[in-house]
Amino acid sequence: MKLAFRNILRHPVKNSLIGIVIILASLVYFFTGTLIQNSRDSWRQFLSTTFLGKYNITAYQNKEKDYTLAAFSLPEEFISTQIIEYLEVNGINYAKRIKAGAAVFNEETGEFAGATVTVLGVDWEEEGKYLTNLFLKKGNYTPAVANWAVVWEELTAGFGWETGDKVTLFLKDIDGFSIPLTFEITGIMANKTGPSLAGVGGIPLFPVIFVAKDYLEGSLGIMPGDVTDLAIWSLHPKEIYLLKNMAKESGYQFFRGEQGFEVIWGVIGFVNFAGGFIKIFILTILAVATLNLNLLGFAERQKEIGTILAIGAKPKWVVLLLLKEMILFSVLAFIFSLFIYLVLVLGASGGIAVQGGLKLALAGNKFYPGLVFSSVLSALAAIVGTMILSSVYPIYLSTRIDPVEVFREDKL
Amino acid sequence: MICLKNISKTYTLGTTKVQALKNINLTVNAGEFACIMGPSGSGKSTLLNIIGCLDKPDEGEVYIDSVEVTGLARNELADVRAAKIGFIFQSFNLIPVLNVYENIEFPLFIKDEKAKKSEKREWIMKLINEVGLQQQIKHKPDQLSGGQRQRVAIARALVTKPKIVLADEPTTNLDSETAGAIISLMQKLNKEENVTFVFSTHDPSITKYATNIYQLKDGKLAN
Repeated sequence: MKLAFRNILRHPVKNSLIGIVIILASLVYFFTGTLIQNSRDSWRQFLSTTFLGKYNITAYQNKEKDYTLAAFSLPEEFISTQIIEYLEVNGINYAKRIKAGAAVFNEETGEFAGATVTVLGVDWEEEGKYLTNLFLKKGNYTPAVANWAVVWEELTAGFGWETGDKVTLFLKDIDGFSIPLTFEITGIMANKTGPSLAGVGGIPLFPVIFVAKDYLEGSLGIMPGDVTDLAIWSLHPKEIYLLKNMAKESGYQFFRGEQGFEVIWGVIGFVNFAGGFIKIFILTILAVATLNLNLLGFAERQKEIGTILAIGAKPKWVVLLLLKEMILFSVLAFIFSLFIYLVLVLGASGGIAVQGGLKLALAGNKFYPGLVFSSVLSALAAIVGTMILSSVYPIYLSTRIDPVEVFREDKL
Repeated sequence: MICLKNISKTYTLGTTKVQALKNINLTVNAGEFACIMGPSGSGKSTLLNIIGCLDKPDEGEVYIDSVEVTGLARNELADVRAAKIGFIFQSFNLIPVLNVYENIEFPLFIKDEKAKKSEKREWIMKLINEVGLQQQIKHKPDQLSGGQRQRVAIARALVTKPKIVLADEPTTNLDSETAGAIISLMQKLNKEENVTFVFSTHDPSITKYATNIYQLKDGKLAN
């Protein structure tokens, strides 16, 4: 190990340059990891207090867990009583929902408005306990009105709706027939904190109308107690595991809040993709630089390796020595980059205000750099792996050194 | 100790084939201080490389300490070198990042000797005293003179307590006074440690120290 360490110090300039690339690669890993975690946590927090659960179970299949896509046919099976009993018995905070897609019908023109919305049949008073980021900006929740509807602000702006308006929506009932249902807008809701996402990417991010669950149930012919979705707010890791399996066995989808909005999931995915691209780019630079350095080192150290082999070392010993050098160097540079990153984290403990796409990725929050254990591990594995891979060929050449040839050339 | 039977060797240098050794028969007994003498290109280094298990002959048999090594695999030859042979090179070949003590200790690491650290240290210090480098123990090779470097190389060659030490033109890069001192030191260690020394040279002035002189000319042993 001592020899490996001394050999690293042998080329301070060259190794410093490689060290800088390792530090940059590590920082990209650390920042990307923490950015994705920030983004996921921000959106999970935002959505789970605005209108989704932290965890959700839906009887809908495939992409219809996405609340921006309205499903026009009710699922063939509703959520099983076994899952609901499990939640009840374990005192887990949850709410039952009926989700249905609806086509907006314009009574004045007698035509469909060409827009779809997601109608959520809910128990408003029950859900209100958990949706703490939601507030009624205008009007009210009026249980006395059987067909009450509370509409997202962005949606009312798009359709020109106001409180007191009666709107007609076409939904499919339990038998698959499209039926018109009229709702009275009693309230307009908005989020207290977080971004106003109206019109972002041309997609109305919250095309959601809350309506009375009982009314929707009766109108669509759904049996009392049957629900398409469950929004869940409190779960222990063991419960998550069990519920996930129960949902999977029943053919339901179990998903976290941010996964209920494909646009948001896409934003997080993009951050991941962009980070991955930068990582690959920087690791390629690291691999090429290391390969060059090792080939130079091989040329310089032929006589030394020849001597080591001559005095009794087996090729395996030389391979281990060179691998030790690579791993030790990678780990030392990695530890140094961890130290630099922690200094940066301490310096930015108040959070970093971000703009544009990053602001959207972070649900309007500041960026709080932190250390994500998985990104530390993956950075270490990627860097050590890259260094070893780019050393394979020079190490192979080193094991092929013939001391006799080296000494003969030395004499010439 | 060393027995070569009908050894021939041809190697390729660029596009030219060089017949370095022609039907060599040689026996070196234990405790000898043998000198292989000959002009440049006579095959001295090739002969030492074959004795040192670094190279294989095209024909013939090589016995080291009564064991035939001619057919051994690369790793087995490495074991023979580590256990039985010490090397001293013309241009010293010290590890530049290690100091005097560490360079001498290095073959023990390769051999992975299980001896106690204190015992190892005692033996290495004895060798350092023998070669007169007590004051330079922490010096790196680039802080030493040519003569001092060769003294380190001698101590390194002896540290594993080999039966044979091979020295390929050990004095070529040294001035005559230092060369004499190095050969005297080798001779002293040959007697004190009872190690067989075989060294090559083209300098007739240092052959006087040898117990036996083997003359090589054009790949053939003259005497």
